[in-house]
Parts: sequence; structure tokens; C-alpha cells
Amino acid sequence: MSLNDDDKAVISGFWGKASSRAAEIGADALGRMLVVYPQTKTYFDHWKDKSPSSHNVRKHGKKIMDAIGDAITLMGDLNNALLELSQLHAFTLRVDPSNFKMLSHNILVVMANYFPDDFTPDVHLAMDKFLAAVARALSERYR
Amino acid sequence: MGRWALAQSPVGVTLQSDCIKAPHHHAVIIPVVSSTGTEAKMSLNSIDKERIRILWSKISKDSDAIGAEALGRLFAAHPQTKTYFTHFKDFTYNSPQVKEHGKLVMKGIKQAYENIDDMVTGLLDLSEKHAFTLRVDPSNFKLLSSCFHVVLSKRYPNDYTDEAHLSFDKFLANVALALSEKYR
Repeated sequence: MSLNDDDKAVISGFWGKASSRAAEIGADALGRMLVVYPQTKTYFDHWKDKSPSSHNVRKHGKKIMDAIGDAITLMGDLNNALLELSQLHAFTLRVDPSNFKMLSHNILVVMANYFPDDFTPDVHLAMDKFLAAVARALSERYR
Repeated sequence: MGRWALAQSPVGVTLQSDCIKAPHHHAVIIPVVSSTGTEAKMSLNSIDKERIRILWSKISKDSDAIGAEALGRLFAAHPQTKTYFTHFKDFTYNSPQVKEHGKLVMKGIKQAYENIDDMVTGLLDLSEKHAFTLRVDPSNFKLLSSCFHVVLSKRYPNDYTDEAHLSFDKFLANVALALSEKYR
């Protein structure tokens, strides 16, 4: 399920509207994931406060979403663009790739929540394909 | 060798460039069954391809039997997969229908092997078939892959080493991904 030209146009179009709220989207998505899929908290044992409104969650959520925003501009070659991040996730963070799906899901939920009129089924499809492609690129260096 | 110049290697994973053999290492990542088929892809590198080539040279002559046994096991171990074959009378691995279909599946695997450098392009016709005609949910590709591992490891205990297993698993994951290409 590679991204075709239509997907890329739809993603760029939607992100044009959504990018101004990237930090919020990231924070909200991360916060939700920690609540909805509590097993993901295991990667953040070093945080005392893992609540959605906490400083750590907001800061880290912004970091994640900024990286995703960058990935959108580099949609043409995600594997190469995310090579360093893949290395980081594989060797340092050691996040099991199954978790990428869970975060992706929450990102979609938050996007729909924030942009109910713009997050049409086509946008939903394209963003889901994009996040899956990001997850694959991040998994590249695992084995 | 900059790509592999890391302070520490992932726990339990053989650094392919150094070809370090550890007695009981396991792959770090356990494939997760998902309905979206979006788990780790991990492209095939030259070492993987060489291992696959060697393995293929050993197993290809038994291709039909391997296909039949893998399918038979799929139906036995994961009965929900029978839903795609309501026209089959007998789901055991030595039934004529399972044998014939196993042969067909292996033909596809061979096609993937022959197009290993660009499976997406090489399997486009098969992807269209699975997406538009057969409509097999991609989660099932993982189940069949798992059955292949079982069959290969019991039939070729000396050849199906940890490394061969790893590379072949990556191969099958890439086949599944290429087959999923036309779904959406």
C-alpha cells in the first residue's frame, strides 16, 4: 500500500490546515495512547506524571508530531528520510513496532476530533496509509 | 561501515555485517498479528538475499509438497482461513484440492523470489488478484507465513538455521507487503 500521487496531495492539503496545531495534536495523541493503551506506559517509566496534560507528555507529543510533520515534507522517500530515527527506535529506544500502530490510531482519532469537517474518509484513508508507511520506515533498521 | 558503528548492538540480534554467531540468539521483534498488515517491513539486504538463495536452492525441488503441507497446516491450525475455500471438500494436506492449490501458492512464492529486487512491481498482477478478486484479508498472509516456517524447519532441520529463518521471515513479510499493494 504505497502512497500514490492522490494520497500525497490529500495529505499535503490536510496538513496545510492541521500543521498549525501540530503540538496539540501530538500531545493529545500521545496522552490518549497512554490512557487507552496503558501497556505503552512501559516506555515512559522515567516520567512520574504520565497524564495527558503533564509537561512531559505535552513536550514529547510535540516532538513526535514535529517529526511527523517533517516526514510529510519528505513523503517521497520515507525510508531514507527516517533512517536515523529508525536507528534510534531500533537500537536505543527499542520500541516494539506494534506500538506504532497504536500511536497512529490515536493520531487519527485526534485529527478527526480537531478537524471534523476536513477529516473526510479520503483524508482518513490517506493519513492512515501515510502513518503506516512512517511505521514501516521506522521499522527499517530493526532487523 | 558507518551504519553499523554503534556503541551497543540490539540485544539478542546478530550484527549481520560482522556475522557474529551467538548460540541461542532470537530475533528481537516478534511479528504481531494485526488486521491492518502494517507491522515492521524491514527491507532485504544482500546478506538476506544470499541466505534466501541458498535456502531456495535446497527447498525448491520439494516446492509442491511444501505448499500443500503449509496450506494443510494453515487450515488445521487456523480454521478461520477455510472461509476462503468453501468449494474445497477436503482440507487435509494430501487432498487433491489442497495439493493443487499449494502448487499454485508456491508458483507465486517463486515469482516473488524471481522478482526479489522489486517485489511490488513483480507481484502486481497477484496483488490485484488478491485485492479485487480473492479479497483475502492481509492478516492471513502472516498466518500462512507462520505455517511455512513450521514446515521448512521440520523438513530441513539442518538448513533452517536461525539466520535462514530470519531472512526467510523477512522475505515472506516483503511478499505479504507486495501482495497488499493494490488493496488501497
